[in-house]
Amino acid sequence: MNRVGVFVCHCGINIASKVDVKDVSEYASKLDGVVVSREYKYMCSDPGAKLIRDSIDEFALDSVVIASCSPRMHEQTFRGVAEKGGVNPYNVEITNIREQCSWAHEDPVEATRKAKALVKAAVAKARLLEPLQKSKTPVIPEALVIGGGIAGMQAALDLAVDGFKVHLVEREPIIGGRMAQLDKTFPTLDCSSCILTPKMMETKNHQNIKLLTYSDVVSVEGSVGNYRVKVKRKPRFVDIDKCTGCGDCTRACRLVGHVPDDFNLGLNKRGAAYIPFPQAIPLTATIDPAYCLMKRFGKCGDGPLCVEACGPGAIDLDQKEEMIDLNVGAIVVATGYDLLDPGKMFEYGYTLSPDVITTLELERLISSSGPTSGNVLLPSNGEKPGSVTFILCAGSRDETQCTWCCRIGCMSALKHVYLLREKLGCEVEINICYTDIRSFGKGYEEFYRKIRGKGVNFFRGRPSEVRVGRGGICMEIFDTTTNKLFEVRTQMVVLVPALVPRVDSEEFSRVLGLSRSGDGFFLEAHPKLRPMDTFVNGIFLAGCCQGPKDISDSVSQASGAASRAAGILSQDELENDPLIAWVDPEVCAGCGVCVEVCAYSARKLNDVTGIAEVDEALCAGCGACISACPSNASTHKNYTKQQLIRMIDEVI
Amino acid sequence: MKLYTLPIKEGDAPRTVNEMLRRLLIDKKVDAILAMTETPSRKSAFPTMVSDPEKLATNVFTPLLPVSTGTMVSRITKLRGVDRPLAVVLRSCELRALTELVKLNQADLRNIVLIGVDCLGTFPMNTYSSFPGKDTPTETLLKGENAEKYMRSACLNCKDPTPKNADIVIGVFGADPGKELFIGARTEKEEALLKGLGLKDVKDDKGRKKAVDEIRKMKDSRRELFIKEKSGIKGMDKLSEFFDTCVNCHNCMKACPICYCKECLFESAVFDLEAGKYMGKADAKGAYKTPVDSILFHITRFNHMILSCVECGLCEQACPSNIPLMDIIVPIAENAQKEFGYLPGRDPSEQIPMIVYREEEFQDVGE
Repeated sequence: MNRVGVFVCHCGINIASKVDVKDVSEYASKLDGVVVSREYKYMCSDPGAKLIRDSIDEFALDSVVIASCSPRMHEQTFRGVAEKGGVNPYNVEITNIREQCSWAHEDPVEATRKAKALVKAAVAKARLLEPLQKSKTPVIPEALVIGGGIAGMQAALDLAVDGFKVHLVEREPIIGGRMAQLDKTFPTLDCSSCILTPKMMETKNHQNIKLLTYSDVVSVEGSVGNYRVKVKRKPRFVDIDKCTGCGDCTRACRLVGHVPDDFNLGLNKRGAAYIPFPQAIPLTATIDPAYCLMKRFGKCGDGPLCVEACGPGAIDLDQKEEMIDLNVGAIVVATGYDLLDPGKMFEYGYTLSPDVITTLELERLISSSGPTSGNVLLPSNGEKPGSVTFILCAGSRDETQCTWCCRIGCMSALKHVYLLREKLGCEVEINICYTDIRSFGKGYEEFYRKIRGKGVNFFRGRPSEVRVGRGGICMEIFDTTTNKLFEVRTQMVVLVPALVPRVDSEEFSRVLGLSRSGDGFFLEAHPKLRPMDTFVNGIFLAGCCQGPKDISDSVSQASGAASRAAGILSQDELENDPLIAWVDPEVCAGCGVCVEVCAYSARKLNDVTGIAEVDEALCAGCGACISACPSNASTHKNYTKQQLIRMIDEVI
Repeated sequence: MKLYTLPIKEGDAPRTVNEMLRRLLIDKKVDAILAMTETPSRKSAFPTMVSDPEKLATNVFTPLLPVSTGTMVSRITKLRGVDRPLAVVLRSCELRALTELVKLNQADLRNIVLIGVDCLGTFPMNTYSSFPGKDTPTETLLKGENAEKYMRSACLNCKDPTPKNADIVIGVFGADPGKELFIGARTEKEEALLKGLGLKDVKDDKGRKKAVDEIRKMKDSRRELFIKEKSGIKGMDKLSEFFDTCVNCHNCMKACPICYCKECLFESAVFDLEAGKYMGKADAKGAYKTPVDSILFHITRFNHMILSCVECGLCEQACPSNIPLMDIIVPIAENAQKEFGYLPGRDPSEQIPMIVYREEEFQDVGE
């Protein structure tokens, strides 16, 4: 039986004001197996640590019980103290007499009684604790970055510069993401592609980055240091090595002018063979199988014109999808966001008139590479609009749609006002319907003030209904700053829609084993202290997949995530937490229930013996297998059934 | 399922079936048969594996369930499945148990031909060994008139006496066992197996189907009444009273075909305590009864096996204190299995509820 030392902490007055700490310590000293019991004002302080170490030495302790705050706070601290003192760090048992006792109870007598019971249970377990050793797994010094938008590229470049090989997987045919669709960025009005394309070039050309465009991550197995990833590379029906990006096929395609152009949000039509925009990377054509006549009907007139037009013979209509296996040590997820479908909000009339558009559509109309070569024209008749009305928070901060703020809407609308003034002059009437103008970033408030001086009508309120009639578009807005109802007639409405998680984020969260917050975005391990980490060791978040962000925040988080990943990749091997499951081969009946319930693929049945085995690198110590196993074959190290039953026995 | 009839010779159904099985051995269609065979003393019968046709003396209708043949198939094939063809004769509850054991990796059905037999019920071991009636137990069973008064509670309230997932079925329901029996073949493979056994094709299987439907309906309503009558054992007091005579022998667990653990948690060292701790318990409560873990054992056992419980009643038969375990098990099994929409033994490809995760399940729990 272990020789146990008990150390009761006052936590200043946090514990001592409710719990009679001296009484608890004295009580503990008489418990079976306890050879020393001490109390101290701050057990986590240096003198507290010294007290523990000295006691270990003096009383030749095997196990240490700390009665203090939650183990979430100082478990690592006290394990370290014990180890320094010569006790195995896993022979430390923490019992929480603060959150679960002094903070939770009013009556000091009862609180003290409960503290004694908790200490008694902890001592019962401490008598049976066993020293554990950490096993080690080698780290594969390569990273996977999922998503080739600005966040993904930033993370990939940072890791590549640090000297790690990076596999950058992008589901679209090109990298660049949403930022590639933007014209200018707020508040500095930098040309979006001017600052983005150098990053895209660098990403493409960096010797440590392997680009996998038009590809999907389909499965992720393994654990931190050694993830096994399957990537499906979709056929683009063009040989990426032969294609020069000349665009001859995109012009030759029989369907030119018939296929909605996704990149321009359907504002214009392209062919089935396409290159999204002139600076696309990789500058390779893609053939859209959903439209291509050869792919749909197996016949394209007398023969496919793209094949005929292609000088280098790059078109390969028989190309098949390809599965690629990757082995990486860490993963950065940067899968971005979707815009809330504006058609869902009937009150804003998006489906009623082509002149009701979204901010992203306006970006394409303003962009010189867009469908109108940068001329802002009404989609309905191709004329210059005489008035434009912005509706902010379309679906954001709205109980019926998305409760959250999109964090970019206000600033992007203000930016558009600036650009419209520039393009359309002073005569165009501009209205902004807003909830609050949130200009919280560096230089944002200054930019807002600048726009306020540009002859813009600001209405504080959202229109109840956008009506489309023969006389144009009209709406009523109750302005809460003047308490007046205004009727606004306008030619163009620009909705600033909410930012929402990617449509497939639920499905993809299962592939990666990630949690999602209530809004559906991927959940960080801690909103303040671990904003890039997830609950899965070795998988990090960057950009809008974790929640709405502007470009600068996305880039910051991407660099942060890359640095977190590099912290893992720079190690030769990782230590595995020894607090994991274990199988007693003599007792296991090989039913396989544990294999099925393991969420970490850490269990399998041995081919020869038929009994269950635990992969120490994969096991997260969650305990699902332990509760699923009807016998005592599955055990959690230092949380054995025997230890737990003893603890229960002591308190009931 | 293709249906045939087997003409009964001299009104002796068990012997006619035995001859049919013997033919399978002689023709080398199977290398051995595992089926109920009386012991030399004739006081009992056990599943017996026979490979010598001369020694085959089965009685597939024996109204006795000393062990579950499902458990026996598990024992035989646990390490490795048989590599020569073996025919096993099982009644419906044994087949259900075997299906559950296969799901739990405890049995291997390769090269096994499952012969399911319509079950008319079984008698307790003691009743069988010193049978009070004029006729033999099997004769009493097949005649049917007085059989029920001897029958085990589990059989009276059986959830389905017709075999599920069998390759070959020996059917009594809808037939006159003095004259003929139904024989069913699942696929063409089994049809080939049955060739040359002197079976006659059945053109119209409506009679058989109707009889099976009727017996199932009758059993359902009977079981429903039983559950209604026995649903009162709730709460710790009633439970303690119910298990008052339990001697903690764990025989129920040992007899249960679903209790597949190599070593039961309750026979491990998990609950062992030092003497001082027992004294401490007495100090804390003033008094306590030993052994301490009787009720906990039963609750835990139910928790582990109830979703796969096939209601064979072997636990009740094994109890030296004659605790009527079916009174508590049938209502619990019914309720628990209904909650998960799960029926043990229904379909080998159906996963046991423990390993099925559904996000939208038991939303009301914990509210």
